[in-house]
Amino acid sequence: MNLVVPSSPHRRPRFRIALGAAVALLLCLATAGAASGGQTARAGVASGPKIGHVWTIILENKSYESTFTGLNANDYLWKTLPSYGALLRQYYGTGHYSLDNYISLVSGQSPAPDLQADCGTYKNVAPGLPAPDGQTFASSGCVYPKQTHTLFDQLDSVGASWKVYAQDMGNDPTREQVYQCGRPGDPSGAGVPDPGSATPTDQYVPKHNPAPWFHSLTDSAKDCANVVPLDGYPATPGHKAIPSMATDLQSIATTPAFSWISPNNCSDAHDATCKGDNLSGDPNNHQGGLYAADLFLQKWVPQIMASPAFQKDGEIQVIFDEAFPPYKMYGNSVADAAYAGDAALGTDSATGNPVQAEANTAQSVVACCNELPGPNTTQPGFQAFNQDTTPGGGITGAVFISRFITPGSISDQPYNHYSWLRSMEDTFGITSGGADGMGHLGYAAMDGLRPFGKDIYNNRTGRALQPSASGSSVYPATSLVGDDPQPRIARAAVPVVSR
Amino acid sequence: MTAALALTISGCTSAPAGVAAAPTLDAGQVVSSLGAVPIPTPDTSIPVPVASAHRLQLVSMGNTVRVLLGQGVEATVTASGPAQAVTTPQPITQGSRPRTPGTIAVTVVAGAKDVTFRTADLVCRDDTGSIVPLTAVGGATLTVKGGTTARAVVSGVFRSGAAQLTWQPSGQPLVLWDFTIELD
Repeated sequence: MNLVVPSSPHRRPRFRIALGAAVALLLCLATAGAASGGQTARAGVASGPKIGHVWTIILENKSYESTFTGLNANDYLWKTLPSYGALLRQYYGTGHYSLDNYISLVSGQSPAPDLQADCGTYKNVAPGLPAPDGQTFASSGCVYPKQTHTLFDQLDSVGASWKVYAQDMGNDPTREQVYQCGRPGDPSGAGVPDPGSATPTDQYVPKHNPAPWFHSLTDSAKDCANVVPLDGYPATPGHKAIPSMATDLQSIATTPAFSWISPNNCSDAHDATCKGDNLSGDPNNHQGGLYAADLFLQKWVPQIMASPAFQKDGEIQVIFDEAFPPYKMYGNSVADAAYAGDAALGTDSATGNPVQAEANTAQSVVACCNELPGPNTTQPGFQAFNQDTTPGGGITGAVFISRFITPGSISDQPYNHYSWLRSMEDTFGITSGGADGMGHLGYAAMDGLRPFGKDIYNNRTGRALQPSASGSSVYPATSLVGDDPQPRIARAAVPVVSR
Repeated sequence: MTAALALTISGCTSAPAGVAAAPTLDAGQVVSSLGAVPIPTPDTSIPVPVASAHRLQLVSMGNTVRVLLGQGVEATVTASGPAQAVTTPQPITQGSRPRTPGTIAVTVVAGAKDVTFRTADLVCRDDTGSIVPLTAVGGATLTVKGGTTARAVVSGVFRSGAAQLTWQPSGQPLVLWDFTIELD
């Protein structure tokens, strides 16, 4: 294990402190004994540190190779950030295209037909009846009935504060309703059009905001008050001004325990050429893709990390919704499924689809973690890019940063969006309800699903450590949930000297 | 103190991690004891690649390249775009291949000596191998005085989602910018 056992810069042990630590340890042991019965399925949870604040930044549509191997102009994400935290080389999406991934992340619901198509019409799920494993029958529609719960509902239930910060939300009130969770309109009946792409003045798209897809949230003014524009919103008749995330970060009292951050369609790397401005400050620079995402991260990650809440017990997560070919790209949807150079490969005799598509998309459609298709689709992944093989959302990779994570570490343990949900539920102490009665919604309750473990939270003391090049320690995958991965250490972690 | 705080912060080994059980220490106490987590700032020292007749530079659109043009003449050149005319998209008719107009801007900062920049020296080729004809928007030849900046703009119609822009003064390729463009 690459555990750093730091020596105190103040070597003056005092009995009173040692006694305090001993008492705390005894209390811990007592609690452990009490908790061990009946909670064996929460292996991995038990080892987690006391993370009190989480910021999840979700980006769009990139395979691991696109993002983390130097193919693109995104040094801050692929080189800088992993040297301050952990790189998850085997983090997977759960489907294609965007929306089903967001739904899986926050509710454990599996992909469904209209979700896979990114819901061109914002309308209620039908029939919306309960299905096994905490799922919901959703043969059509995208807005889940009130009984389909989300992580946000669970956070409400344990009194943990949360916000969804969505960049540009509310810029154009004719496109989205800023006080109704950012929904595009009323989903009843035939529903309303759901804007799927950005405009020059409003690059918010509802499909990249996890909140407006659940009546459990949209029907609650209290919950929708937590779904806010990233940069704040001026006061309007009947509504107070909404503070920006930058303002919320000023103190622990105003910082939510859980913050979901949806950059706009430019800053999340979705659009190759942004319809509006990126964060370069140059009105003539509309470069999108990972270049624009890097600008967003360069602006916000340091702000978050400088906040009291992060320095105390915070964790930043940079994840992607789904992998998306090709490997070399700056934006979205130039799927090299149609790469002309491979046209001569011909046609798949089994499917009739062009082989060129299958030849160029393999990394983007695989699944992990025994992902199940669920009741609404035969394959999560939509057979995107003409694939007819293993379903799934593909390998995206992710980066996590926290004082409880050793800088430069790499984990090859496989995780997907359901693992993320399970981990967040565990992190925030949600221990009841859900599909398993232990706080895990939908497929986050799947037997054997691994939450983030000691391979991620590999600096248990929380002692601040110096940045280190990615690969300083590498945790291999293990076969069983309860197995502790033994890391290969290339460079020992070096504590920050606090004084 | 550190050990006790670390134990408090990291929690008991069998207690579910959670905000509900978080300790009541403030951020200052944690930082004082365990240190401040270093904050990554963007690396501003990333060197600008240098291109010359002996070294073509392949970069992504938006990147800047320092170009040595010989005889002490040099320029720092940045290409950005393509900017798309999103308000007046090119109509796509049934059965035809999608296409979109776009403009590319090239910013030239001359070194100590004057630099002559011709839009005719820009060549765009998409990933099917087809040339994308470029038309100057404004001046086709710019004389950039030493130490000053000028900007040239070219436009084209793109029929494939991936392409490359090459700057080849006097027929000598020096910089190649790779990019994608939305067709839908």
